Amino acid sequence: MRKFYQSWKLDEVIPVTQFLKQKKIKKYFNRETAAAVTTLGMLLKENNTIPTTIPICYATGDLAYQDYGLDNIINGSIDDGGTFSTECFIEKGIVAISPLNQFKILQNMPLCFSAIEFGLTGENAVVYNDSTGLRIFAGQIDAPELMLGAGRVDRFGTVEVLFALCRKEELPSMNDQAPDDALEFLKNLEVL
Amino acid sequence: MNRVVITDMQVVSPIGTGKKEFYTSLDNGVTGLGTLSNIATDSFPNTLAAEAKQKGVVIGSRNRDRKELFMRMLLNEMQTSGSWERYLPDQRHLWAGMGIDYFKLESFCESENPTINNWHGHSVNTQQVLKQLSSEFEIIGSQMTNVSACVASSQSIGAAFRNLRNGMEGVCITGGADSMLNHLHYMGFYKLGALTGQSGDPQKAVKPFDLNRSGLVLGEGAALFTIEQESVANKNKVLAEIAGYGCTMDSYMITDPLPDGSMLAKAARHALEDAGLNIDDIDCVHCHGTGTPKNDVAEAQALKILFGSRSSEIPVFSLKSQVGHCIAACGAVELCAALYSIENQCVPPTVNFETADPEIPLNVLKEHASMPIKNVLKLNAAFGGQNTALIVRKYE
Repeated sequence: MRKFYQSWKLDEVIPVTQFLKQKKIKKYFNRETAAAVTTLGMLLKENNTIPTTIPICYATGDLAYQDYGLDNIINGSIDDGGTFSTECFIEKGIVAISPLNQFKILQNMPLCFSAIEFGLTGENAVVYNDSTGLRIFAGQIDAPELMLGAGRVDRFGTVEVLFALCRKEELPSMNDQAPDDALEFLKNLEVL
Repeated sequence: MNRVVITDMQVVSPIGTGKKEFYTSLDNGVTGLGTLSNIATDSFPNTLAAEAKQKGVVIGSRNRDRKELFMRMLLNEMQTSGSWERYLPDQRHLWAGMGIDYFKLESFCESENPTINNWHGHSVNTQQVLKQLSSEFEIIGSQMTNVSACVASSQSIGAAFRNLRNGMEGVCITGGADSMLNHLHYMGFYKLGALTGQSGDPQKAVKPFDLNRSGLVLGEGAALFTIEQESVANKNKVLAEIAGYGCTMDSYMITDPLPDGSMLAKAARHALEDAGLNIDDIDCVHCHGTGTPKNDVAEAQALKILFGSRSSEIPVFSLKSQVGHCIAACGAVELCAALYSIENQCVPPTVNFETADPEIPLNVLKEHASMPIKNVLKLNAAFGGQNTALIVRKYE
């Protein structure tokens, strides 16, 4: 298969550790990153001759403030009068989360952690979830094959990720009609 | 292959807004570093920042997404100057590198139900911002929001260059904007240990390539360029040609650059191949130059791979001691300085560079150096390991 789609509900464990060289690195991951590493790992396991220089573009979903520990920050940042207080934010809010949680709101992390785990070094981009960004990336690449991915976490915590190994001729041009949503675009994409 | 040229440039930065003010600040070695004034900083352990300015005054706005404000300022200027008027709305494309979504922390805390399930309405989705601006300014061909951190804007510019070169019709408005100078993102970066803790004169806090460098200061700003195919561009407006683009990933560590600089060097080699140039054609390098202990050494290693014995001779420059680290906007803002080098045929000094580091045997200038400049190599690298290289060429 040249296309892998995976989905995990909030209470389901994403089996990312099987793809990690160092298990402890998992503490940096939000759910989308864990799902991206796992899904790409599955695809690469089945297509083990893909060069590490393959161009790759990933369309990421909305920012993962829920994984960031926002509720802890908010709880600590409100003073006795019910208003935001900079002093409370510094002394009780921002200290309530791990410094490592910053990695959970950096939107290039799903791609960069995937690159590190699987040794990918080629042309790359991370775009906000929109199929236009994926097609623009394809338009700049001279190679015959490229890897496109998309992921998102919904309000109920369900995470979806899809990676597809595509030939350039399999992609619709910029002028063709296609779903705006990157995940839907890739779901509809026929790859041989 | 089509030649691709830059026909307009607009900038908002800590050393000024608009080309004239920005260039004058480069002429005079002005630094825009200071202390945070746009947010309340009671109890903050660190307040160093490079806030965007216009006519020497910090651009004021509280509790607002400053990325959106900067983009709006630039698009207004470009619309007024007729930057894209020769093209129909559906031939205009807006592709920008943007920073992390702004979060309205204060309003969320004071909302009726500030619980975790209700945060979405208080987060300003950057992609929606770009789509809204596109609609308002009638740039409806396509929109793309690149979120590749510190290479987001250089990747956007590279994508615009490549697609136009490969035959895409129309005009690209491309570059990027960022501001992390708000409670949540500023303190998030502080907690990571990424910011310099240096005390004393804020204007001397960032020292790229210097032996005593100690880290970065967060900056903010935006820059946009109008990029067109040379065959249809108004030749009288051409500022420079984009000749090549390359992009790689370190695939090393999430927090550190690849120490040997090999993948950054590879990105530059790809850009050279793209441009049909060899390394001897490059006249100066506008570096990423963060002023952090590890980045600057890795970048020096990359230049050693690229230039060999010439690496200690070719003039190099970093803008970050003047504007801080503008994160997603840094590639675009720093490209303005590369255009300055081409237009003025000189390499500016790297402000605050005083003492050479034996591990960084580069030609970092302390004074302006006038010289013939035809090709400038612009390097950037992102937290996470993404690298970009752009080559801009004097238009002839």
